[in-house]
Amino acid sequence: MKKSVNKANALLIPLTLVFVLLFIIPFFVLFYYSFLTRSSGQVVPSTPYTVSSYLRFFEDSYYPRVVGRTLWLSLLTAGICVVLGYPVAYYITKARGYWKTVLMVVVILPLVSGVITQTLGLYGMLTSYGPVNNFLMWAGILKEPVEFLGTTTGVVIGLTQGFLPYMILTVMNAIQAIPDNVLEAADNLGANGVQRFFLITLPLSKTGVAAGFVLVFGCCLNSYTTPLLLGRGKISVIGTAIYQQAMELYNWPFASAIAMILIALVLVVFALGNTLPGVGGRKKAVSG
Amino acid sequence: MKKLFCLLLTLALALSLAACGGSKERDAEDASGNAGGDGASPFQDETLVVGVWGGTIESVLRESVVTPMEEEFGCNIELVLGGTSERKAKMYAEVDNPSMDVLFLNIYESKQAVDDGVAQEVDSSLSNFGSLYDFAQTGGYGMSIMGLGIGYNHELVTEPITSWKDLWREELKGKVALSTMPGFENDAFIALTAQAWGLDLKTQEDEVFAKIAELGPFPLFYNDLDELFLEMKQGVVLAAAIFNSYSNDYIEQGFPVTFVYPNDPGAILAKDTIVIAKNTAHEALAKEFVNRCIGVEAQTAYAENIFFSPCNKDVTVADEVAKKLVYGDDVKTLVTLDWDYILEHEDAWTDQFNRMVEGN
Repeated sequence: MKKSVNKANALLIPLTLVFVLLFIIPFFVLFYYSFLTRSSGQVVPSTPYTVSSYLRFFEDSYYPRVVGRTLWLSLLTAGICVVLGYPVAYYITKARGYWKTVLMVVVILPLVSGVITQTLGLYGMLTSYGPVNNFLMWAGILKEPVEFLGTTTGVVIGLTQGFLPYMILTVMNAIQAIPDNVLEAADNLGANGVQRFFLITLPLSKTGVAAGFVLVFGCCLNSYTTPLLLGRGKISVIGTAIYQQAMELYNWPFASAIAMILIALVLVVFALGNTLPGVGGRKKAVSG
Repeated sequence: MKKLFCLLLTLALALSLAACGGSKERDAEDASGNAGGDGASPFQDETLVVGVWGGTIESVLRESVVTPMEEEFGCNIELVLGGTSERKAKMYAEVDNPSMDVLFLNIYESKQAVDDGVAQEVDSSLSNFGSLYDFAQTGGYGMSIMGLGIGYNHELVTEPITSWKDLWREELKGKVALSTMPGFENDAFIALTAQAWGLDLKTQEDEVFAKIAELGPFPLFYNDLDELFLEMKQGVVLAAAIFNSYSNDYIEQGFPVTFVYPNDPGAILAKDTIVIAKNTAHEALAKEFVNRCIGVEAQTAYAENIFFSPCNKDVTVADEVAKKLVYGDDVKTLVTLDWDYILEHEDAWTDQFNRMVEGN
């Protein structure tokens, strides 16, 4: 028994090394940079140590507003993904055979195509002269084209499209984990389809919903490409603010400070998510 | 445990073989590249890494300089494509051991890099150096001249645009696109707005930004020219501050856009510049590369193929091409901005610009 545990641990070594090399070390470098001073005419920051970058973030109301906007966009997107993703996940779980495979491919395909391809495709769809506006006008829903691009609506549509598969796959896992005999027991005890869904399936899959919500929320919080392209440079979020400071103004200490604040926010969100009923512990979820 | 060890060993072996394969392929390529050389090339098998923009610039550079040099010297010239901000960041971060030997930068980035000691001073002994215009001999080697002017949709704008102030016409309200901030176009636009409206940028910064905000709501802040010209064609954008070379490239493709050099205060001088990294290990090859870039052949190719105006005074082009360039005496009409002042304030301007965008 002990031997097999050691083997399992050994398999984790490559991933651990990659994780330490690509995440832990850069994290501490960023943390260190956030306390350095930007030198005139230099990209790499230097001493003296200072907290001025953190102070600047909170002194200028622009950056807290950017954080607020990012949080709002992320919450909205995660919420929409729950509403749209749950029925799809439920339907796919119940589907059988070839049809289920087709549905799974449709869900997974956007993840394979990459965020830039997806976003550019959506860009073409959402222009004022694109198919979405043309259809809405043809159907008589709109009298004149609506500008989706460069607006919060456009960015939320893009983020939802990009991250919906994560929600669907997470919820699907949770629904599939419900033992068939539990549902059969509900049937035997006289529950109809609606009761079975609301009293059995939904409570037992809330772990997946919460996990999907936190996953989509975290992804939105870090997003850069979608707000940049669909926001047309008008919707600033934390990702675009960090890029502007780091890669265009070379203010690495300030960019690092914003990144640290972002990481802190993500940790807070995950910690809060962990306190949600059914998320913190498996036992509790099963018993719920 | 034994199985795991075997697995890791197999993986390591596979990676080693792949690396050897790649190396052999490279060697073969080098050998074939040297087929036309005389075998006594001073740059045989040397690799020069050049950071440059992609797209049509890459194509014309490859055709006019890279391929001929590789064939002649048996060297390898690797182009790293991308924007200047990443290149500049790398150059500063890797000053002691640069990963790029030669870098294409814009007018103020190159000057700053030379001033900061991360790029070499120009070498006036290069055979083509004396043919450069005077302003192309400082702060790096001038590669091409561009003028920042106005491109507008001539099918939808009723009266021709002739001055920068025309952007504030009522019919253009909400239809003028600016680029993303920071960047040459917007840095220059802030400075020229002050000049056009008689404002002192040093004491009336808020008024200058208020004036720019009057152009809003902005349809987009572009960082991609395909997007900009598509929206100009569709009428979402009617006018934008843009470089002559890029405009002419799209006009050639049939977009209904006219480019003008506006007055008050005039079109703004921009210059693509080449610098050599301070501590490059391939200095001689880098200088040979730069010398070819500023030579008549490459400069003519730039002018004829992508309408980038030559920095070399000896270049002559047909009248049809000359019309699309900042050429000959036109060069003297371009306005040079106080880039030292602009760069000093770019951080603060970016914050102010961000707030303006938020309010639009």
